[in-house]
Amino acid sequence: MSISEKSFKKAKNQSAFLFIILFCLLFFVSIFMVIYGDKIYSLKTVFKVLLNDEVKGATFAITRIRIPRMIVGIFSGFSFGIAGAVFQGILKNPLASPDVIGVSSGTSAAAVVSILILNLSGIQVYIIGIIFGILIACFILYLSTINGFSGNRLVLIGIGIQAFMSALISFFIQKSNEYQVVNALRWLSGSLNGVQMSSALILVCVCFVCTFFIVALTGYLNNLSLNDEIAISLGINVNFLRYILIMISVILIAVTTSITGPIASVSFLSAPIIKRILKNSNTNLINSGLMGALIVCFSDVLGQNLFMVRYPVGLITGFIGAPYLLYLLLKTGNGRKV
Amino acid sequence: MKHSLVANNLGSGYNGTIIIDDINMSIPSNKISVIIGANACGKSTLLKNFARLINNIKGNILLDGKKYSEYSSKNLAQIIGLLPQTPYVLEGIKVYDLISRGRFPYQKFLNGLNGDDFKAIDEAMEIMNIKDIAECNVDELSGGQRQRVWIAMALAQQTDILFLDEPTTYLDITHQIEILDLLTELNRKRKTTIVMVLHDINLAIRYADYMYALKNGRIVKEGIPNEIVDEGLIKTVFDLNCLVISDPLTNKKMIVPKGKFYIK
Repeated sequence: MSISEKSFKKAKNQSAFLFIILFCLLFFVSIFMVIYGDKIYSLKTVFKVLLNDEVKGATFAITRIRIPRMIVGIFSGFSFGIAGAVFQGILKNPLASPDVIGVSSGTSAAAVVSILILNLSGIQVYIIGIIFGILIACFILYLSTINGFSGNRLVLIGIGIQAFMSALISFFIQKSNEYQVVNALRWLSGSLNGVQMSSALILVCVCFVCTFFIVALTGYLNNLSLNDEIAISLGINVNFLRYILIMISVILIAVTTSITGPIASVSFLSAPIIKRILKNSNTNLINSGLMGALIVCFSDVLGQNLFMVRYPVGLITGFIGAPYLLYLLLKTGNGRKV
Repeated sequence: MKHSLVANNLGSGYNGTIIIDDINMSIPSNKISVIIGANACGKSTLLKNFARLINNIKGNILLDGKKYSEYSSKNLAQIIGLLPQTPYVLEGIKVYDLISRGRFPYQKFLNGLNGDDFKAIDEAMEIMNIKDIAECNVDELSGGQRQRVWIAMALAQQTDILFLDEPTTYLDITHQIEILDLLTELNRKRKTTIVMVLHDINLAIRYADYMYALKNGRIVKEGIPNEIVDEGLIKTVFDLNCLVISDPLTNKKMIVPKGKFYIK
């Protein structure tokens, strides 16, 4: 076998091994999410419920609350993780995340306004959130590609728009009544509370479709993250590729955010953690997605069970993300390139 | 493979400003051509146009009689390759991985690397003598080694034409000669058409079959280096006085620059 083939096989095996480990961990955490809680249900009970046997007291909790929560936890985490990996590959920066393109803040602002001012709920909020999130992202993308795409410009404009959205959200929160504010704030922290099976299924479908397209473009993304000039000379249409990847990620994030709210840190934590473990130069899309799913599910388990009060998952992930961000910033200061 | 690569009345630049103009060039097939000129005379712009990194404003470039836009990007990537100036190195990328990226234009959608690809990668590593550092991180290599890796990537791409933007500028003298020797071997073995920008006139005279002298975005002279280089050309292109002597090793011309000091 040739030298390069051996090296590639070794790297592929490492990646596959990590995949198996992450998958198993995720499997166990998800089971835990269904079994554990205020009431602990045995595995036997869960199986019975899944097989459509009516078990008093359990069926409702498991099928209407815990299983949707688990599904949304997994797939929202996966979506944030994979979208984060895509953005970090495109912007060539481990601090990048889809937040920079304003989709999360746009969706959040629209959702909050719908809840507080327009008094909407349910599917109407979702749709408005998704549409607005995508629109904001398109707007920012357009602005950052005038006179040629600039990653820096994208980030700066994104920060500006996010600040504006934050101000908008604060403004509307000020103007609404107590009860609505609590609702809105809880939503803004990113939470798996009250998710319905219908939302869960939509999320699963959108996640599968978007992931399929993103993974199909892995080779292109890996070369885009090298160097624009090299990518062009390898036959890649870099502008078109960037648009497609960003738009697919934006759609994925918009749909996810409108269901769970913005779950802090997951999209910018997942890919760098995988990179540290594998120490390779690929964008590690699937593994980043799995890591995201793990972070969300695990954080939710902590948030729901560890403390006296139940905390939304976004709060826990925010706590995890802050020290990591600090660490990254300190490391950069020591001369290591970011 | 023989290709005809011709620029007709090419004019190009950035943001509407014209940097190069009235360029008519027919790149000699299967030969090593060098572009020389002072800083900011448009050498890079010219190279980038040929390597389709920027679009021209006037005129056109025809590859085998057809415009670049008439080829699919992947097809073009199998014919024309580029080694940019100081390419950015992704952190954590290993040598074998970077070289393998050169096989991208040959990969079918959703397929990975196949036997042919691995053969090409190994061959490239063999030619550039970097098999022993295959598993190293590229950003931990010395300048000379790194340049060899980038050229190996271009080799793995197996293009018939290769553009190099100042491949020797940041290398020490040993590696400069080493890279130029390797490129010469490449040209002789695989008949690759090579077009590069060089700053060192003497190395350009020694290694190139054909030379283009650029000044202020226009070609002032072209031809066989040993024939076109003289005091007048160097004065025109670089505003430098010099003495032209015979290189004792190659019997080709060699320029000796005249500065303000130390002249007998």
